[in-house]
Amino acid sequence: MSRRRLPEISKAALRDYDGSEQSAAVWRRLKSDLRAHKPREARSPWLLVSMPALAAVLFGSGVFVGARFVRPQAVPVVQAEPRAHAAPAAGAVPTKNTAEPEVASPETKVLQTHARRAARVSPSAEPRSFGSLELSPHAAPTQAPAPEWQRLVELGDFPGARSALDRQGGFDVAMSHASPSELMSLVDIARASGERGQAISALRQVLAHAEAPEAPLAAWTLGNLLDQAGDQPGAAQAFALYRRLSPTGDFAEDAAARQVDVALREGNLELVTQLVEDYARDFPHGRRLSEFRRAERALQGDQDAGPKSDVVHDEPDDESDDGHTAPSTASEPSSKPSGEAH
Amino acid sequence: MPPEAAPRLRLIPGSGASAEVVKPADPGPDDERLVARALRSDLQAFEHLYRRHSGFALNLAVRIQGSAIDAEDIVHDAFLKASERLSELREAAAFRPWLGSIVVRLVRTRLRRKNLLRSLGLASAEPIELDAIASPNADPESRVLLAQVYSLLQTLPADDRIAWTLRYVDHHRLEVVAKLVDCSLATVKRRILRAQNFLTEHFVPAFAEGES
Repeated sequence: MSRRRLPEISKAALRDYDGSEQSAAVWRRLKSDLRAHKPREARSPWLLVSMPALAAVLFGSGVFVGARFVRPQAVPVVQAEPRAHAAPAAGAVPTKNTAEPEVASPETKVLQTHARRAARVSPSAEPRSFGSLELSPHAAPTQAPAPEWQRLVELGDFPGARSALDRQGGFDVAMSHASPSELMSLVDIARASGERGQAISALRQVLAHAEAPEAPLAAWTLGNLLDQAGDQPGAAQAFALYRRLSPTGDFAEDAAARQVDVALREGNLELVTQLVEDYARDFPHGRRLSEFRRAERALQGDQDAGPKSDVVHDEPDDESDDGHTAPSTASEPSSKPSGEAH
Repeated sequence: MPPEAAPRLRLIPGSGASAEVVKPADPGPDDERLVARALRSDLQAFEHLYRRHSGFALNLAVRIQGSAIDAEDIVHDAFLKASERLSELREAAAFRPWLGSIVVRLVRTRLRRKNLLRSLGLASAEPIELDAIASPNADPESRVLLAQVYSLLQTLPADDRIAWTLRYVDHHRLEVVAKLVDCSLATVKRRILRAQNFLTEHFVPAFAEGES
């Protein structure tokens, strides 16, 4: 059999169904179905315009409601953090160690809900890379990752944090643009490395933000450090500030007692009397009330017995009558004792 | 031939021309007016449209499929869809090609479903109803030609088969074919060429020259 070109199919060879019996049968079915079916209405142009407009309005409303009423601080989100790397702060002066490779943290995944993260401000302008995970507040979803020193602080590695801090521009540079929570981390680093002066500087900077939640603790810690450094007036002012910032705080009674202690050491009878009265009023069942009464009487007896010229009160010039002034920012302890405690 | 099983050829008794009971519609009003009246729920106008174009729709369905199976259902569904969507018809005068495109779409859907079932082994190849395609007055050569062509067409993809059938069996112009299958002219040409090449390659004339 041979193959050849396909012959043409003529119309005459095909069956024509025009006017056929099948056609009539279909119409009988169709007629009843047409009565049951209603022709579809053409979509009006108004509908075509109004539907996208309605969708846009609904979307806009959702965005407005979300922006207006949703409190982002309350919702922690998982956020990526670079793997043990943070760029030096903008404007930082590079140290000799900046060329050295970064020491990677042994922890590659850090999940933390530390309250200090809430106000973190990153010093780094470098684009983030994705590495370990941490919980951070929803309020700052575009925050740059935390500096390495801060991560190490949260891991409890204070020597490592100190090294990282030195590599990334040093303590003063970090302090210059740190938030109150970061300043408290810097205080921990300074105290762990025996740099009391740096700790006091950082605490005073925290107290510049009196509304910050870290302020009362900073005042209390500052009072302790100044007391240990021998700055009695400064310590007294810091304790007084603590009581003003947190009148019912955990250390309120202790702060009042420490104020009395400082005044007693100074031998300032007038101040001791005033502070003991305040202590008795605020803490009528205070643990040290009777002790202070006795010390006050003893001080009074000493001063009554001794010559007038022996009573020398070295009161600070800038202290107000109610003792509620802010601690002095000018005095800096010259000595740097190590191993102090709160 | 492709590896698919060759379709069976079944000769079924045809219904005679005398069985036709529906007379061809009178010329009457043109399609544009009938469509306008049908849009106002005038059933008589729609019946006019049906009488005028139902033969065309049936021819399309049967010739594309190669059988009258489900052809009545296809035409029924096509007219029902047409009545539902009559308001979407932009050119009322173009009712016929618009209806044809609905028929083609329905047939294509059916063919694809059948092909899928066949590829899954859930259905067998449909027999070719030669008497449904060929005229009762067709000569034997034409009947053999139709039988062989439709056997080959069954092995082609649905789109190629439809395009070629519309062009060389129903004798529509390429532009009309493109409109009926709802694709570009270039695509239609490609499909027709593919089918034509396949048929030319595999067609074997039943009567050698000089034999008949």
